[in-house]
Amino acid sequence: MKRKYMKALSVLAALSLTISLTACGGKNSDNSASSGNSGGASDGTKKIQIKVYAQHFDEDTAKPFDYAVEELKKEMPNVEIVLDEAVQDGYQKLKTYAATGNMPDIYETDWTTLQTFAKSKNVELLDSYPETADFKSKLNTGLESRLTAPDGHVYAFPYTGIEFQLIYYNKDIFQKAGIQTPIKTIDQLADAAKKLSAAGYTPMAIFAKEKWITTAFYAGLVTREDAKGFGDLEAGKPAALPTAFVTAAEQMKKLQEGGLFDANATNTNYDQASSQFYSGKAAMFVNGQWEIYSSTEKLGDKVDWMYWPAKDEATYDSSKGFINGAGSPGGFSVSPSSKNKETAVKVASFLAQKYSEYKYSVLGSPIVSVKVDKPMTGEVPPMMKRIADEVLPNVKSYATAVSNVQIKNVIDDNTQNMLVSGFTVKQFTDNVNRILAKENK
Amino acid sequence: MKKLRAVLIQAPLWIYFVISVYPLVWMISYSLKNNDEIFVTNPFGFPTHFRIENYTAAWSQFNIPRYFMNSFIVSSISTLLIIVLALMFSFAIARMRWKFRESVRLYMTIGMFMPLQVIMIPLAILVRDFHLTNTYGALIVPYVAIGLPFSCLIFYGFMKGIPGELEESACMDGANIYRMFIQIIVPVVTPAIATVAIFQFLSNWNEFMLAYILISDEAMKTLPLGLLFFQGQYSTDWGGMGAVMTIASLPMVIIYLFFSEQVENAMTVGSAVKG
Repeated sequence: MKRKYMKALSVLAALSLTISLTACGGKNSDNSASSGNSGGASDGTKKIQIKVYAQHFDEDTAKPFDYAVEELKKEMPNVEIVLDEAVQDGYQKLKTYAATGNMPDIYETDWTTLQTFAKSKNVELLDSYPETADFKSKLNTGLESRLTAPDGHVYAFPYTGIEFQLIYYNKDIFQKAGIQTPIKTIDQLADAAKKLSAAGYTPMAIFAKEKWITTAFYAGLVTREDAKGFGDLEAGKPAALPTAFVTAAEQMKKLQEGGLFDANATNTNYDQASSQFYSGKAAMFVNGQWEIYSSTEKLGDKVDWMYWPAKDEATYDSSKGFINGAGSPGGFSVSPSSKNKETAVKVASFLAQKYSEYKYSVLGSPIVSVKVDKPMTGEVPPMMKRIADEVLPNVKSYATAVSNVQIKNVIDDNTQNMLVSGFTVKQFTDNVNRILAKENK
Repeated sequence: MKKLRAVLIQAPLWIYFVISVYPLVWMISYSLKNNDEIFVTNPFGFPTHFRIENYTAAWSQFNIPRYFMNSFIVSSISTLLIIVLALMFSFAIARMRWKFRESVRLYMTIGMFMPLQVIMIPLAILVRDFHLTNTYGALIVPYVAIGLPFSCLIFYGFMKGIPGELEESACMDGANIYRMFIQIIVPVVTPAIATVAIFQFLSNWNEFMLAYILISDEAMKTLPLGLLFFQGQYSTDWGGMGAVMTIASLPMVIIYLFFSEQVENAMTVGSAVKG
């Protein structure tokens, strides 16, 4: 019996070694930025494979990609797209590809990662390509900052315009709590928070576990005081926070102390915060304009968005056209190690344009990078229609982004702290001023 | 009185049982809810409305049988290789005398303290250079390397405790070193083999980080990567994720329950040496 058992174990071991060796050597699929020739097109010409690392996991990401790839088949039948699915991992996998010299031909990323890749020569400079000049000519007005980086180079073809944050609110809850809209001032918002709390609602759901959203909330208040937003902390080289920023910090603290946010806000993630809003537990929610689709789907005509409040009604009216979103480079980039760089650049530009086309014509989003000559065919949510009719035609200026990582980090950390009881405006200004003094010497 | 004593003795065990089983129950429970129920309206209660659509979405959204097969192939081959190699290595350092035996043992043990994040980049480069990317080998080879130190430690501990008389008597009967290893040592350390097999199989089955970095081909993905399908650009479908986790872990739980009994049985086997 024992002998049989041992024999079986030996055979299994030998078998597993054989299988694993076969498995190891069987599929020689090199993941490098190869653009091998795979098979032939219908006309007998060889196809160029372009590997694209892009998000492709839900309707928001898969549909525009699939649409763009279908369009590409008509435009460039000799190109075959090989998709490497990206996920929400803060670009960790992409950074690993870069570190191992395994870059895909085209990849989708943001400005922070692009700055790193520019230093490590993992991103192709697109300045002198004819596709870039063509893309520039099609760019929507005011979106230069989405294509051209602060250093003057072009690193990626964007497909969205400048996105910005809104305050969403549940009209039914506001009515029940007896709150007048529109809310125009900080005092009115603080007063609304008190009424909502008294009525048993969380006044505003915010996923402050993520620092960017607290920064966005603060940016909304800053832009009411200074149209350029955070960009002024870098461009003007101030050694201390300008008055507009201190005022915005005081307003944010006032709202926090007035009970606008949940006490547990800094431990709340997006799914928790959005669920609070969609299940009618919270009266307001803060997020980018991309939330329009979800909130319309979940709350129908009960939901609408409001402008950021200001210190007084005069400021509210005069600064309505200052948009709190800041444009920074991002979109489809090309790897310098691509074996078909020219084709990859053409494809990257094409994909970005077709993404824009899909978002505009099918989803009805006007916040796209390039002009689209196709009509809107999809049903446009009323809140998006408001943006198209009310906001975009009246934009006076967009805020500017801060590229300095140290300054960005100190703002992220301290805006999140502002939602914690006991953290003072003085602590906020002291912490930020310390970094400003160091970075803006 | 007797009853009361029995209850008092059993109470801590029942409490422990509830604490151990609750996470599994909770996982199955939230796999039948949507985000609003999970986070706001009914986080801890049993589902009031069974959302079977989470399971249909999990099944239709990606190729579960394929992923399951990949996980099974990678985990079982890795586990087998780990056991074979660790047994041989441990035999060599525990039962044989040679010059650098202790140094080699120490070198192998150091492997246990290497964080995966530290070796990730060099490992990815090696996998690429050996043309293993997007093959089973991309996962099997690292899993074996990562699993060896701990397995060797377990086997070494067991083998150290085997009385020398066993080998001596086998030697007297004319057994050579291979026969001694296969027919004497390996059967004696069967409990350790069962323990290592379960431990390594489960850790390989659940491994995410390496699979995520080294595998991008759809046909080669393993089950844990399926969880990523439920992470949207702006939100995560936790119910769907729970469904995938339930599908992925239930077979393992059943296998574990089955094999843990085997381990217990093996543990009770007495020494092979007559007193």
